[in-house]
Amino acid sequence: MTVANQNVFPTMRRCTACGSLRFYPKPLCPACHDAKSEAAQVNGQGELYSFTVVHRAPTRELKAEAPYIIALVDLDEGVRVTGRLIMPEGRTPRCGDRVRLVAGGQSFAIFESIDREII
Amino acid sequence: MMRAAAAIVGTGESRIGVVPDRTSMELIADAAAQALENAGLTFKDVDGLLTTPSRVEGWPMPCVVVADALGLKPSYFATVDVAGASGTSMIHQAAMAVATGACSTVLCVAGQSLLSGMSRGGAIASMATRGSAAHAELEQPLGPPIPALYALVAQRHMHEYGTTHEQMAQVAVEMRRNAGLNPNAHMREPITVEDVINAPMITSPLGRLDCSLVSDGAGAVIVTTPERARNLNGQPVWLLGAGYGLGHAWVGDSGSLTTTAAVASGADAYRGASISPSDIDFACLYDCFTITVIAELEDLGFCPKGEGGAFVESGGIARSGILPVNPHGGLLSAGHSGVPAGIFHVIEAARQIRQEGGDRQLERVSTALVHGNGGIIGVHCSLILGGADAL
Ligand SMILES: [Zn+2]
Repeated sequence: MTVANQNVFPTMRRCTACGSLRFYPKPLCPACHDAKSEAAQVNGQGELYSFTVVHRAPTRELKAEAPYIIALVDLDEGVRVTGRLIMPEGRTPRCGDRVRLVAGGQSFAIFESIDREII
Repeated sequence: MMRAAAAIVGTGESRIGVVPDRTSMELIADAAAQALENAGLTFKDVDGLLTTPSRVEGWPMPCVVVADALGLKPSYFATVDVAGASGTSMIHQAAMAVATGACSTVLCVAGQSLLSGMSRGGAIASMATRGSAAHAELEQPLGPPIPALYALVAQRHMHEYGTTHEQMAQVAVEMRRNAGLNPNAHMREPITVEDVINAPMITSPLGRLDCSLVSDGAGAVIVTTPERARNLNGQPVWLLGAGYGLGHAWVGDSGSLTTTAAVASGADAYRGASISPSDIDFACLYDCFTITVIAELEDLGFCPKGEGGAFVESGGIARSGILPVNPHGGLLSAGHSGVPAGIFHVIEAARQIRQEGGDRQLERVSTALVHGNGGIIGVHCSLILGGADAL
């Protein structure tokens, strides 16, 4: 991924003691309980662990966006992240699909499917 | 904790479903009074109180507010807050309290006016935003209603094990059939697998009938010492084993979403009771969504991993099946008033063991497993309950 995406995961940290990556903000490393960590970058590519297409949004603001896809992505660096997934018209995602980060904000990553629509 | 260190001696339910004429606290009082009457006790006998938080009321220190409203000055009180596992956890916490001598008779009571107090849409919106099971910074902004977070579990289960929507639908069909025999159930009209498949899609693969109801209702359970239990008229229901499992706080921060920490909670409960899954006569399983039951059947050892769908499809959880599940109809059909509703599974198990099941009384009721699941399949508390012949 390019420089534009380096700040897409502002919460991504790497434990300076054991090297574990973590996406969810925690004061201690979940693997070794060390308190020190540093900002980490990831390339934004990974595998779709699971997804759901939300048809009935829970709030009025979100109803305008529906249907939208919520995804769990296992990044190649070995950490799971949450995000939205965009798909080309008429295509359905599958668990295991290769995906990549295309955009994101403070805490809002957007992925797209890499391989299947290229084929 | 020692096997049979405490017993359930009474249960009660408010009216469940659409109950616009009762406030949350009145529902709680109704359930508590009925449970004490069922036990042959009065409010004067209660010296311990456990309850859960209320989404509708947002009370501070809920156990204190509830104790005050019921006119109680208990010597032990706490609010149990492990989401859907709170119902089963309250029973275990109560048993520990009486086993240590902190008190002798605990009223476990929880309920709220979730439907009438908030409306169905209001409750769904509230659960997706305020105090949501979704992480406030990393998940809530994506816009998942609670069903979406369980849909992630369902989608992955289908991918890994070939579980089908038809198999999930069968869970909803069985719960509705059971609710047809329960006069206090919220929804009693039979449904078919086709009805579930064709229901409006909420969040793929879960349709509306794969999701628990939004109901008004409260439940109460009285837990006391073995000595007091033996001196009451009704049959005591013994707590034979209990266990907890903690998988994750946030669905996106999980490992496997298809093998849950119910494996740990079940294993500890079986070990405490010195029994195995094949000794269980029937089960009351937390059924917030159809997929939840399938995952629990596997993780609690009632069928091999990945075969929960086939187990349900072959009639395994039906009243006539090898493991009748939720004879009252569960959260999917008997009623779901939010976090408090986990107590309804305990109440049903105790009623069946005490032969108080009425039209829905099962035949084999010596030993039951009750399971509560909270968060997004991340928090678990299992209980094993039994009557005199299970001791
Ligand atoms: Zn570390």
